[in-house]
Amino acid sequence: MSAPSPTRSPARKKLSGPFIDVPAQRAAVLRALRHPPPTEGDENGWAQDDAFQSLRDLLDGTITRGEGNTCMLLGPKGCGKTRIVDRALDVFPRRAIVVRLSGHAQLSDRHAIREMARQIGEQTGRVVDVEGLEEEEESDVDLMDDDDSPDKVDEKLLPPSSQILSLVARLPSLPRPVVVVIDALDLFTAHARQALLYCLFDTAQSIRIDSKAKGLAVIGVTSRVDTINLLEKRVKSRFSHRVIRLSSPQTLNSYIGVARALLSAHPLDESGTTEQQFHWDSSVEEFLADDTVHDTLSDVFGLSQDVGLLCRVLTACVLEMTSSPPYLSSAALQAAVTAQCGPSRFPFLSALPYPHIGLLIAANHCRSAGHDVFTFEMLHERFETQIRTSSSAPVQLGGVSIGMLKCPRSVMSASFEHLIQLKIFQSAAPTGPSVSKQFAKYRCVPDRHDVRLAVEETGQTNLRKWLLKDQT
Amino acid sequence: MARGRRAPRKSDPEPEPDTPQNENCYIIPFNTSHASREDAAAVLPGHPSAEWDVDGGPAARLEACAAALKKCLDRMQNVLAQLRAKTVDDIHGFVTTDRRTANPLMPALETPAAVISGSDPGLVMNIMDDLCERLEEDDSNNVVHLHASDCSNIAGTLKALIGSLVKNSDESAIRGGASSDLSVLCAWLQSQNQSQEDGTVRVVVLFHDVEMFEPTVLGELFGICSLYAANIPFVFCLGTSARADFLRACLPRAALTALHIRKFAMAQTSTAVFETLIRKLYFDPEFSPDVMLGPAAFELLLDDTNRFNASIEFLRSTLRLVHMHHFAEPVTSFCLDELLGQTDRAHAERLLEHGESIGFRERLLAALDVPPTPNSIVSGAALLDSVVSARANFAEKTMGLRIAFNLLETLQKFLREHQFRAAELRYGFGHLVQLCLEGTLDETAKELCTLVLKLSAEQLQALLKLLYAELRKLPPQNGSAEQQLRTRILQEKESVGETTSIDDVRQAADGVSRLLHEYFSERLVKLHELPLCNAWYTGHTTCSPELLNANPRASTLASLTFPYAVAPPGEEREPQQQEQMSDTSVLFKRYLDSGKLINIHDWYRAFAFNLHKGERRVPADTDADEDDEDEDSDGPSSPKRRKRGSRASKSPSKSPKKRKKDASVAKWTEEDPAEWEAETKARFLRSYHELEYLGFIRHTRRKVEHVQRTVFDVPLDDEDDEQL
Amino acid sequence: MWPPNAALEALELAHPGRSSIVRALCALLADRDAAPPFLYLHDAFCPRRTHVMLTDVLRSVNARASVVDARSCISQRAFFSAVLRQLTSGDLELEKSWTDSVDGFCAGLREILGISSPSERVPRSLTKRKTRKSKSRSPTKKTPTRRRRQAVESDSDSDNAMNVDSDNAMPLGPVVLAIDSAEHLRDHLADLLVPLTRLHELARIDITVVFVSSNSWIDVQPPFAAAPDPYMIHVPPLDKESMIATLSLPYAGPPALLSLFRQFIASLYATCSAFIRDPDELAYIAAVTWPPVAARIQEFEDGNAPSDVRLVQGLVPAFHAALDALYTRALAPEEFTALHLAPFLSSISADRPFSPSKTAPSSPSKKGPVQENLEAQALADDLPRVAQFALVAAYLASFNPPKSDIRLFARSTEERRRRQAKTTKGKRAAVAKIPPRLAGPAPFPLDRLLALMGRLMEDFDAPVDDEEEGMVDLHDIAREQAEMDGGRVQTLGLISELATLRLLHRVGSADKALEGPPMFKCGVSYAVALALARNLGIPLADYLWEAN
Repeated sequence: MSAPSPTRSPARKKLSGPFIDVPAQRAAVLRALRHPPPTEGDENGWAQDDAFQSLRDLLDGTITRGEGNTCMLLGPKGCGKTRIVDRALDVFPRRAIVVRLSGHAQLSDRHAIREMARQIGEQTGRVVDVEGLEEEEESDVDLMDDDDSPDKVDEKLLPPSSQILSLVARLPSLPRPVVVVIDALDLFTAHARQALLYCLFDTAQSIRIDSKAKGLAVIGVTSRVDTINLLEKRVKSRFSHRVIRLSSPQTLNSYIGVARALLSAHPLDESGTTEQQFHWDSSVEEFLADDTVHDTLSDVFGLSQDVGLLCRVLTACVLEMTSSPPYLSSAALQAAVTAQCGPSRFPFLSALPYPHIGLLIAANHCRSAGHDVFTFEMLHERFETQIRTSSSAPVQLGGVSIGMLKCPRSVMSASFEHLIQLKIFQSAAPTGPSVSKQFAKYRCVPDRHDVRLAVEETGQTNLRKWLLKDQT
Repeated sequence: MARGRRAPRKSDPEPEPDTPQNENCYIIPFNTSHASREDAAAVLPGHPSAEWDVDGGPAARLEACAAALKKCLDRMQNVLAQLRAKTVDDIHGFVTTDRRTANPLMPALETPAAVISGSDPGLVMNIMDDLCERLEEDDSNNVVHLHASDCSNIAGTLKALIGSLVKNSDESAIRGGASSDLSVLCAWLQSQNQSQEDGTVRVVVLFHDVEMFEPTVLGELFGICSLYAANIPFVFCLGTSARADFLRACLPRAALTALHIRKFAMAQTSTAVFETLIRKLYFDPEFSPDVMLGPAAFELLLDDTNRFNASIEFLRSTLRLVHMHHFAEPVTSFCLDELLGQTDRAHAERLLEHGESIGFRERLLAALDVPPTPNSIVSGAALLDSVVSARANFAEKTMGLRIAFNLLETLQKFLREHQFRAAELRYGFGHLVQLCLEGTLDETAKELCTLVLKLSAEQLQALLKLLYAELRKLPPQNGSAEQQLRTRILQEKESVGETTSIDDVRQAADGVSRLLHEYFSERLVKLHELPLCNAWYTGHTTCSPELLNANPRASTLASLTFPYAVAPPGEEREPQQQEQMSDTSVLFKRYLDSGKLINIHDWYRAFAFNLHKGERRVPADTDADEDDEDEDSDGPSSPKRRKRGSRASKSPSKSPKKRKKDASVAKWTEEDPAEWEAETKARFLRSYHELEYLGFIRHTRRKVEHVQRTVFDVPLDDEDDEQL
Repeated sequence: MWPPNAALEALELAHPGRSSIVRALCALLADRDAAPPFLYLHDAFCPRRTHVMLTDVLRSVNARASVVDARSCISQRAFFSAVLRQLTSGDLELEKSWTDSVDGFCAGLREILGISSPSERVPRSLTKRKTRKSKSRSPTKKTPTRRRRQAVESDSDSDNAMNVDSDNAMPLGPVVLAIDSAEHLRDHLADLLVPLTRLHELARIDITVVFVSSNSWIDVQPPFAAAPDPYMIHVPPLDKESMIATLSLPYAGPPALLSLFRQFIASLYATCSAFIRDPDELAYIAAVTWPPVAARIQEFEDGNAPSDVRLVQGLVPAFHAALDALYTRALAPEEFTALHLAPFLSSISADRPFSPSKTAPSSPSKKGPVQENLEAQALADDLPRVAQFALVAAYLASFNPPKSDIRLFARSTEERRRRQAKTTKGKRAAVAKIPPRLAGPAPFPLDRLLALMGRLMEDFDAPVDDEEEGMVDLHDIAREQAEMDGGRVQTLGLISELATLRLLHRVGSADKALEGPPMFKCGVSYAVALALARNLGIPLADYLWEAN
């Protein structure tokens, strides 16, 4: 636990009365961070409410009046798009068939079709006749059991693309209105001829109110701003161009508001007394009021308004909280920020053993000598020469000579392979069986600055000397 | 047909066709109707044809050859098996070690991996096979074989590994799992373990020819297997003919750390194995081969083994060839018995006295070096008796030779160990064998015996002891010479034992030396002087090295440049001009004159020009076309005509009808240039395609009317010097 | 659930120096609907131990966990079935459709977690969660009716979900899918990378996906930021105390030797930690070196055993040797014991003080090359003569520029020219470009190899039989023979055999064999080439363009 900042110490004394059940409180906050509560709009006008309103109206039109609607939910990632859809759908419990597709899971229209059929079949007891495939599927799988590539299996099991039209066209004729939620809409635009999107939009567009067909709503969710431009012309022309925009918190205050809302969650079981809750809330207030905290949060906010990032930072911060003292600390917050947002790619660089560092330095010298791409032999050569020179002209430190340690070649090559495994050295040329290990070509990823920092941290003077040599 | 006798293009530039150089390529006659006995005989030039042979001789010799070869190769197998036995034992021990009690300090389980390396792939393969047999005796070892062919990628490898084990198991073990999922194997193994009383079931994976595998695939496989090491007790056996640290060189370190590698290798290097084999086959008193190597054959073996290829398979095939060549000699039908392939001796005598086998009889007499009586009537019985005695004699002599050779080696070794200096002491086994087979070893023996004179008393004692021990090892019932030697050596030992003064020692040494010298000069006989030796002794001629180690490129070039050199016997004549050569050769000459790119039209013009000159010079050539029409004209024909005739049948550009036409007209080439033009074009095309087929021409994208040369710097002048 | 303190302390004991991470993990995974969807454990030095730690934590928070190594599954089907089989712990039959695609997999997950929870509370909380996810839960085809009913009653209490949640006192253990060595997902399961990171929203259940990897998330994550960022936990390398503690943990010998073992480990750490930071590697060295030492010590009756300090000092050279031999797996354990340990151990005795210098090899760096040369010699002796020529020629062809051939192999008249040209050339080349011995062998066509080989054989391979060719100039014969041997069937066979033995490397794919001459690269090291040249009596240095 790090030292509390001076501004808080008096308050600490004031508050250090009642006991706060730390694990329970922590669990409560974590739970809140995992499933953020719906944020009500604040005076700064950051509100998802209007977005929620319009979405609910749209669904209302589809579910109650049987309209065909298409819309797109657009907003940066982590701003709660999916959550809003869920909230809006919760308004009409069990009155619509909800089909959820995701561009991440269904890589092709045929996958999507099968998934749609499955979900519809689950929610309406009736079996959609794409299910008819399921029987063949069983037999197919038996046949394909020895096949290793599941993709091939799928090719056999998937419904033919011709099924798309027939199935989608039958959506309005289902007993209940259908809501199709398409996550990662932009990925669907990459599918062949955007057939599924075309069919969905077309069907939704061609629904007549007066007809006894049930409604169909297609809600595309995406974080990619130019998704509309990705639609083909014929598809775009069938899309209603209704775009509901969502945004992350725009101002720092609202951002901190979110943080406050997340932190001041209470244990669900009523074991904790209201007094405890009061104490906790006040400690949270104090925590947020702290200048360093404020600055840190503003830095994070400046980096990105992503709420998910905020959640991760706060998670790390809350985990630091121990039973004594049972409060959040600004230092913990700072540590969390460095750990969570934009962590360095090789945080362990300075902890690498001697041969690794030696190779890194050699690689740097290669680079400064104009050879960006190197082989193990080149690095080892430089290493050996350095050892020879350092032993010939030993560095005197406090009267004791500290030449560079010798290191057997085999150990060096082992270290080299470890560096490759750590992706610090990345292959610069195709390495086939015809290229023997010590001649494979590699490139060093961390730049000289990182290496210098690492060497400084290791505090081995001879290594540092070597690194700084001939750079002047 | 003539062309079938020998490949026109595929043999060497030497003018006389009977040198072994010319044997290196044969073509089976392509119309079998003409594969008569002459042809069969002519396939082996330099060998006696049928009139020297006895009726049914070839069949008898073939059987004899097969028998002798079998005996030889079986012996080889046994020797090799003995050589392998220890290695196989070690590996088996390593594989079947019980590893259930692991070292608690060990961070992670290692998979034991035995690397079986040897420079000879065949040998390694045999070791693996022996190992496999040993392992399969015990049903707690589940043996899997992996070959590089079915391990091109990791999925295939796993499938091969798992499939070969669980294929015979019930479906339940592998339900719901992919065929490349090792957890399937886990399930299967548990079911096995229940049946097995103690849970020592292990999976032994034999990798054949590891060096052929993709290193990445191997690394991945080892990594995956190490993940399951707790559940599946793998043991890897990696057979490789590469060096043993091959794995460390090419595997990623991550994979190496998962293995516990032990290296196993044959004790002997390949040359040592070769020596052991020769020793055991031809210089082992316990084993008497039917056919004794001659110096030529041995030189062939030794040379190629040292220079090219030390593999046992090579030795085997060479021996096979040597035997086949040896049994082409008619009298070798006496190699095993004197029955000449007949049921009993009476028939054999009758056959021998038969009028038609007069030639054979003469040959036999010559071999027996019985002076041919003027009216060369020798009864078959007498002949066969002498054959029998000759065989007994030969067997006795060779046995003595073997023993003497071994003693000589012992002596040499002894002297070498006592720091004596002499050229003879530096002779290796190969050289000794060479001398011995040539029958000149007794000089070496003489030198060594003179060295014996320099021995001191105790050295003399030691030497005698050594020799005595050697002699004791021999089978007791053998020839008198060794018995005498033993007794004499005993006496000498006693005499040396009591000698004290210098000259006594000198005297004793002198005695020993003389004794040894007598013995060696009696025993180290010249095999080729024994009667009827060429029945059991391959002698100074053997099959040509070209048979084993041809140089097709050189032969092709040479025969294209000098086609008359490869004309069938009886008709190679120095050509007055190159125009008399075959079309292809003519075209090839022009090819050699041209630059890197050849303009086809120019080429054609030059070709036509040569041809034209040739036609006018030798008008007789043209009616050759007619003999070509009827295929069975087996009269002597010049290379050119042979080529033309035989290929005309293949070349689509000339239907027989047209050919008959232009052939008839060709007599009047001067009158009718158009016909002649057509024929020339056809012949050009034919030869052009011939060259293209042989890979002398490459087409270029850029210049359609040009072709590219693929062969340069053909050594012309050297070959010419060789001719003369 | 938050593990009881006893379990927590046991965990911290089992994993020295990891207490903060253990506590963090326990807190994160304390209960199901508070666990973050995606964790990333980054350990650059020993991911294996991190993986062990994770599994221990999962056990102590009684999670329904399935731990899969990304390397072990080379197909999606294998991966899915492995995960689901672990989750069902084998008591439930897997459906075929669950293992053939991501959708099926998600369905399978829901199915398994839906039916196979012990207590009655679970379905309700499940249904509650499902209703928050608005009824996208999946009834099986087997028992649709039961599902229906559950769905119905779940919807009834969907609105007061909060107090439903509030009155189940004890939270559920988390559902965790841990993927070890996650950087290997790219190899065979690249398509799964994004779905796995989003598994909780695709399967619509509270599942926590944990990646354990030795690479940072930046190197693992899919392109275009298709995956949400994980909650990062960076596992730092062990410091000295915790490393020694870790290494001494598995000690199972007699307690009398425990103190000695501690010193042993300390000395090992002091010797090798500069080169090795991976606890497993140090543990491996300890595991190989300790048992013989212990055995030897136990031979002494307890009075006159040598003092621990002296013993441990004496072991230091052995540790140095181990660095070179064991860490790089150059020697098998038993070989190492016989070579480096046995002499020292036999030398120690109670009364006589021993001198480590003469008992054990002084420095590994000195021993390495020697061993290498021995191997090289052994290899060289085992090759047939022509193959040796071929390899030397290949070495020259690979490490000399083609233009130098004419100079290097010119007849004696140009020798002088060659020499001076060589020196000047060498100087000029050294400045600009990397010498080939560092950059690696260059490919060369077969013809060049045969030509160089011919020249070498012509000069250094005396003709074997000179009886009948005695009168002819020997050199001509040598040339003839060299030329003939160049094209011989067995020479070409040898070359391709050398290629299969990886002493030569075939460049370019074999299917293009017919276009152009086959290209090769030399596959032997300088040591081997030197040994071969020595065998054949070739002065290798004279034929090298740039001297090594």
